[in-house]
Amino acid sequence: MLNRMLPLAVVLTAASLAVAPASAQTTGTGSTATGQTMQQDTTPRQTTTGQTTTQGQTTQGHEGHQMQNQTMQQDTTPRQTTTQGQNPVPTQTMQGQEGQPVQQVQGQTTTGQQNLTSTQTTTGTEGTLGNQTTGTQATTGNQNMATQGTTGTQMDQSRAGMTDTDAGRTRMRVSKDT
Amino acid sequence: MQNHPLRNVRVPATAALLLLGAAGAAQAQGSGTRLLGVPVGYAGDSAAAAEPEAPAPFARVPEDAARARVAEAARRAGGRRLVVSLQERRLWWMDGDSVLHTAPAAVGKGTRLEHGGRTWDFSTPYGVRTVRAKAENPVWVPPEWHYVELAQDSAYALAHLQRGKPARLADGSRLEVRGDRIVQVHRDGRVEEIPGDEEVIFGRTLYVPPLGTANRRIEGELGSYKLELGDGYMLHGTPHQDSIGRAATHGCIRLRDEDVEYLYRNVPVGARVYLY
Repeated sequence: MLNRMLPLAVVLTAASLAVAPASAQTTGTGSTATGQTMQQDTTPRQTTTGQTTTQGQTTQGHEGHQMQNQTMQQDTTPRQTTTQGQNPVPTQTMQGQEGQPVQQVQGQTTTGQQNLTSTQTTTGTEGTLGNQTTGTQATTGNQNMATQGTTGTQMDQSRAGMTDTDAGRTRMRVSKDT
Repeated sequence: MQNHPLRNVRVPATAALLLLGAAGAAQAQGSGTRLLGVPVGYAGDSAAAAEPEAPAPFARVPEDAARARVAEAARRAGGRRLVVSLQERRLWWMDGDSVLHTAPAAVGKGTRLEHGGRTWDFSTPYGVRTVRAKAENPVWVPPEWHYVELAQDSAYALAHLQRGKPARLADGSRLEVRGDRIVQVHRDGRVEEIPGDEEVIFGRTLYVPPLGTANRRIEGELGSYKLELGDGYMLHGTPHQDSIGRAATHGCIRLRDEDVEYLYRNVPVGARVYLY
């Protein structure tokens, strides 16, 4: 077939070179070699597609054609497993991890609301009137041991020598410089 | 730190001239090399040389007329006496015109505290006082203002513990006064003693221990020695050495331990104390 195609190609090439107008060349090409061209196009397309796949496999597995399929399978599997499988897991895990703290935070949010109280308390410290506010807040705090501990811990950060106990007791040495 | 407080004081010639005139200056400078009642181990002039020259007494006269009068009375007074400049935060132990010892001091911080209709002024009052008593290893009895101040600073509510009246806590336990101790009696009957050198704080409440309990007898907070000046005012040492030289106290005059020891050993009960 190549033997038959080659002369025709030569003729076409020669004709293309000989004929000056491009439109005439196009028309000539379509009318003369359409069937053959289609066959050639069809074959290379199949070949190209196959080669493309092969090249993709080859690129991923340079070491051997026989390993390409296995490589592809391995690649495919990890990709699906790693990318699609693991990703959701970390994502879920992350969400789960984030969710837990969020839940904790939400759990602490209750404490946080009490923290707001401590914020108010801090403000109260600045003024004489704060005493009255403080007293009220402290009374509220007494009703919740968890709050006492949490708030007490925050107080510890601003005071040396203070530690908090799980029983809601704040330990502080008696000092003239408190 | 080369900061021996028991240093020999040399009164600067210029200041001495202002105070005493030429003859007095000669006397002051001469007495500057003299020490009375120097404790064993005193480093002598080497320590003095390591420190910048201490300011002379009466070098700065207070603008306030009443304080200035006290300063003038201190300057004119003869004999041995303590002179304290609240402005310069310094103390001098003098004999006549001679400075026998000088030391930096912490004085009242000048703030006010109000609570329950009461007001405390944390200033060191000026005037003339007398050393009424001296004591070694003094015990500090935290006054009411200590708890009020702590409660305000830390946003605690105040509650006074009373003997025979347990205070119920949020977890169902209770606080009691047993003898001289504060104890927490848990619901299961377990009794936990509150250390005597700790505040009694549960939740957001600061409990004021009654007088006579261990929590109202604190050792170490006044240093190793004290000289009482009456009305609760004292010259005393402190574990808070970094406060020396500042307006940091509730009215007392804090000194470095070495300085208050010197005063304890050399200043007799009955000595005049001029604070201006």
